[in-house]
Amino acid sequence: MWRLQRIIVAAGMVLMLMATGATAQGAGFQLKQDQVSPGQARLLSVLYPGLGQLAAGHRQRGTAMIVGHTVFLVAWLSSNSDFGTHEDQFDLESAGYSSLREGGSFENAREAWRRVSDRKDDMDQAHTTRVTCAALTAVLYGYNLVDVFLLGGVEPPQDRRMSLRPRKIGEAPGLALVARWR
Amino acid sequence: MMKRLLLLATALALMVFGCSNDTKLPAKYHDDVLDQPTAVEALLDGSDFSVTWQMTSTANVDGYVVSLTDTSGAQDTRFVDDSTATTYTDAGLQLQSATFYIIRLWAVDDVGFFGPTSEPDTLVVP
Repeated sequence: MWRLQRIIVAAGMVLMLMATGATAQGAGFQLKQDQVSPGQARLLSVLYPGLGQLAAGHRQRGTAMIVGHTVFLVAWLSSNSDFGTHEDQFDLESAGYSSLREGGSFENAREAWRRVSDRKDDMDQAHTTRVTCAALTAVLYGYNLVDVFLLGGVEPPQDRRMSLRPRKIGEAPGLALVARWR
Repeated sequence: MMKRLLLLATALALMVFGCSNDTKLPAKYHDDVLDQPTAVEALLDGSDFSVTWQMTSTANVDGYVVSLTDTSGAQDTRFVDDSTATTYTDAGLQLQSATFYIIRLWAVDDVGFFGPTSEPDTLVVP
């Protein structure tokens, strides 16, 4: 399970790197703003929620979706693993209880039944948690698709009145405060 | 915005409550298999030891186990191979003098499951 989580996180990081506009090239660090088409941005968002929005310039929305989806995904994988552990314990306790039917005593069976019931409660709780996390992951992914395909989430952002833009100052990378008047 | 949130909340609720855990508890047997002996009374008449008890139901009963535990914790058991018995008598039981015994009893079924233990009765050997 943890191996799968590592693979997913690593894949997410690779996709995020693909989506970023800044790249290191040659001897010096060079700022480069790649313009992605809406189609490419949609594809990125289908691959991982928020990447297309980020690539299209919607930094806050894209970052929020990437962080949110990653958190839900990790929580889902963890809770799924947790559920598996509780399920194994439940199976073990159930087998123990059933085996007491032949050769066990009422008192031991009653104690075993209490443990089986406790494990069942734990398992039900873990199941609710994992389904909630899975649902949150699915809903956020679905909202991401609606955003990029229906709500224009990958259209270039409107210029704000004031914004920070990456600019080369001499040969060095820097930031410029840009103000617009209409 | 409110409609969108409502739609998301509905989808979430449908997913969470639509996927219940279908794992079931194993069949519960221990409460129903054997009845608990009641009114247990132990008597010592000279060297004759006897125990009497009552059973509300003898369903599934194959026999009874009579248990004697002394103050040191040592336990001696005797099996009564009769599902309808309500008395056990033993004339040759070696009980230590000046010792306090706790007498308990439980039913046994044909696969060896021990039913609930009776309330204890006490016996003082002079």
